[in-house]
Amino acid sequence: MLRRLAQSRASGGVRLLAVTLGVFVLMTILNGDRFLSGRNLASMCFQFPELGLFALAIMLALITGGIDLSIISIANLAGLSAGLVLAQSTASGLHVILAIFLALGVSIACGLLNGWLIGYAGLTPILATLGTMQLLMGLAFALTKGHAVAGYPEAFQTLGNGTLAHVPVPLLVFLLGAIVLQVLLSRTALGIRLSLLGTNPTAAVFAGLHVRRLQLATYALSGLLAGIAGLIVIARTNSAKADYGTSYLLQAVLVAMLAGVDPRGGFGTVWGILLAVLSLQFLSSGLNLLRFHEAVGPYINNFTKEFTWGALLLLVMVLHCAKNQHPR
Amino acid sequence: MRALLHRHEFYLAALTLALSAGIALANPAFCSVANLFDLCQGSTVMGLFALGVLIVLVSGGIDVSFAAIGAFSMYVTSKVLLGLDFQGSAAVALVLGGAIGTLLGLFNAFFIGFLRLPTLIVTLGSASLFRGFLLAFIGTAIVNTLPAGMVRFSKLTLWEMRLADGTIAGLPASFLLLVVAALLVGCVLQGTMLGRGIYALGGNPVAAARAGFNLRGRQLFIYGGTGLLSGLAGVVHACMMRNANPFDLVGMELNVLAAVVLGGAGITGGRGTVLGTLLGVGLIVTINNSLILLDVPSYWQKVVVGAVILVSTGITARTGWARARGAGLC
Amino acid sequence: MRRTAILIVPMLAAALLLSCRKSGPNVAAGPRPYTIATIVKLDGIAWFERMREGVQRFGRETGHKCFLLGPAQADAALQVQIIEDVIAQGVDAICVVPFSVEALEPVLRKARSQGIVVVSHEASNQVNTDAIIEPFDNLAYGAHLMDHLAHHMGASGQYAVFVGSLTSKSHNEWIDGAIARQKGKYPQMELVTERIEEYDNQNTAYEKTKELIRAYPELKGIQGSASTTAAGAGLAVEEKGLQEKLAVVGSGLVSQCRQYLVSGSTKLISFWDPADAGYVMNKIAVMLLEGKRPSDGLDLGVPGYTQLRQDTEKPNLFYGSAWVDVTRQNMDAYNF
Repeated sequence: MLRRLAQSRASGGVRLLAVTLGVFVLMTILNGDRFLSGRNLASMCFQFPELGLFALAIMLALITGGIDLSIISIANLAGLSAGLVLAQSTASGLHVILAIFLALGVSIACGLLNGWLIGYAGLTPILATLGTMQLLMGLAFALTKGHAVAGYPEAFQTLGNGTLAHVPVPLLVFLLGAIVLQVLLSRTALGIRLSLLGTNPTAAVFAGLHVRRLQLATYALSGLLAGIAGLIVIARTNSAKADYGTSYLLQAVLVAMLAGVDPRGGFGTVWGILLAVLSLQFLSSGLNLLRFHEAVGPYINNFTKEFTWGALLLLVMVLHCAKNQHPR
Repeated sequence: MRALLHRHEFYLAALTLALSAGIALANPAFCSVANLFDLCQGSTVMGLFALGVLIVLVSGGIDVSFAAIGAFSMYVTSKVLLGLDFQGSAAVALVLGGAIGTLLGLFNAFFIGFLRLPTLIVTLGSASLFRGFLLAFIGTAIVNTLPAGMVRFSKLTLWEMRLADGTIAGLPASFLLLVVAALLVGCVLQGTMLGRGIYALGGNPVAAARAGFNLRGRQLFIYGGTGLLSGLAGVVHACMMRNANPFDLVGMELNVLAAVVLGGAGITGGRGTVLGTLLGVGLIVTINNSLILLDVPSYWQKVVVGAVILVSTGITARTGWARARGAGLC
Repeated sequence: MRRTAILIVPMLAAALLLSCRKSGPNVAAGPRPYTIATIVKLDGIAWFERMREGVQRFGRETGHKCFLLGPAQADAALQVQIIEDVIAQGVDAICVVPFSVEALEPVLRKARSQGIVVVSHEASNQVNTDAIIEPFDNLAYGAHLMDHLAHHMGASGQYAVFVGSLTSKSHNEWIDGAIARQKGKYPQMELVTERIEEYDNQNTAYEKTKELIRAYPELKGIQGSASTTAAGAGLAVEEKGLQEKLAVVGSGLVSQCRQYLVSGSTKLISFWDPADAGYVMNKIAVMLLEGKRPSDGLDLGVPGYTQLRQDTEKPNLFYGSAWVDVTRQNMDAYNF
């Protein structure tokens, strides 16, 4: 039973790879050299790491059978606290380091608050994180009265816009986060406990796991990932604002679902997230480029993109289901 | 178990009353018939959505596509009736909107009931699909002049009076729709085999199937019914706003879910009542519509709403049944 | 596993083949049609649909390739992505109506560093841009709305102000201008509470107005900023039967507010024609591409932009005088 489950999930990964490549090939055929141009590839590499980090954060909470709706608010609050330090006219190298640590600290603290509410105060994850989503975004509004905090040192902006050996820095940060998370989930006791907690919480209790501590750790980690995304966001836009990127929340859930993360808990892979976020990026940039196409251009707008995303998600699930249909 | 459930609603009602008393102390203007009417009106659309979400949550699923269904039904209904130059009653608009909503709900039910796909994924996908289709292929322009019947309906009140200060206070007729829908959903859920089957499905789907409940038929009813309620909510929203804006409604999903869960419905299924849901909606609407009365500066409003959600769910979680909650998404 | 691999390999090969086939040299000599992208805050809403008309008209008249894009949701993150994609595509100029001025600075700098001309609108504090064209001076616009509000209130009594979002620069500047004018010229008037946010949502504007009426029974005036306030507040005032007591003025489009102008709950709306703004942005972009610089007093041949005023401190910032006031009397002259 378990082996079959593992097999079906592995083949789910291969199917996702096929879908991602399929989207890539389709967009290449439709757009030709435009899609494969160096400029477009580089542009895509700058675009998807933020969403990728958010999706990783969502996946982590989903694996334990919860959900974290507050990631965008955490990212913005963390970004703002860093921004307030960085925007000092005298910001020096020391300030940059201080700001980064401040943002990470704030995001971990927000995550711990989520974990405490869920593990210790007994709130359901959806309500707890919905509440903190409002609360933290509200704090960001109260801190700034809604104004943007802008203008950071060049050194800090490389985090969002720079390249290292021709590789965009945000991509490097995302890959680093993904690798660390992958190791954590698959090679450590913590990772196994998290997925046990998500698969069967009752069994997890009987197995002697500290459920509450695990929840603290989960949400602190997802908060941290959101905080890192927040730093990339403010470096890339050279500004921090209370309501930036609110559309990322549903996109991140979409990516996680496309990646085959089990919404009932227990399963999710970093590979899946990587492939899913890539396929969405190919689709998104590809459709944006298609608007220059003489014949189909006038029919493409951003709502076509939304429509295609929904259709893609359902299609992947139906394919998945058709392959694994077995009598119950 | 039932006694515990009753307790949850009792605490929720007490909390709402305490909050209202607090607001009334801070600003006596809260205690007026006019304000009560405003709160009822403000709860109508959210309440209709919430009843649909309740059915889904009780059955152990989750639905995030209801707002997209509402927007779709509202916009298409308005466009069709305008296109036909229809002058008749708003009842036709409600029936048409409800029918469109039901069809879209059955679309969800097909994937959930027949292909057995997870509800969150299906409704997340269909939400994008419906909204994308609506805006990409049907239209984005706001319909500013609704069919005459819908405008008449929007001005129709159950009860109206002119207050001393010259303002008019009226309870809109659409509120009656919420009352009827709540009674119907309550009767179906609590009083029929169909409803008990939905609770059973949410409590333990395998046992429900063994007990001989027809699961697919039930899923068709659940998602079709939710679609119907969402379609109605959309048309009512258009009537209240006297325009049909295809960008409206989407974005309120999380607030509605919060209200229903606050009302005692578990996301793991098998639990939840109409009364609790209405109380949950009432609490959220009261908070959102009292921030100016309390003179909370705009910059702090989100903080206050977030804190109230956390505190009230914290209090109701302490009433004992939280420990009984099982695993799952939430 | 292997079967999928069999599928993948030919797909990749096909992609590579196709990409090689199409990369011919792109010959461009002499005066050529420019490709100009206009990027707006939100796709599909009435305001920017009207702007699209102006952009397309400019394209038709001049033969340049002009088009308008915008995100599906009002979110700066999505706007940044679209500009990234447009840069990758290789356009000649970008005209932009920023959702968040600050958030676009890096991506616009990137555009300019690749030789793309950038023209912005509703963004007086934009740094990385070649020219900013504002329909009018924001503070003056807000002050002029306050003059109308004061007129309807008899220059005394309580009033409240709305912004679309607290993060919107232009809305807040209009309100700054309005409050400053009230303090200077109408001391008998009193602002009851801080600026109220309605998220560019008519329903929220409607609910908040009803709450305002409840909280401040003596309220005599409301000034809106987003196009949704004039309609939402107008609906609430009409329902409460307060047309004679409570005046609503604000920015708005005639199509959205017509019924409230008729019923008298919304007294006056003001706007600038988005189509003209789109047309003018594209015209300036072409001027810059041809190496001409806009100067003080320039006549763009579009009503409201016949005598541009150059900012004294920021030489690339230009103001028109393009606001239009609409009341019940003249509303039939506008079909959008």
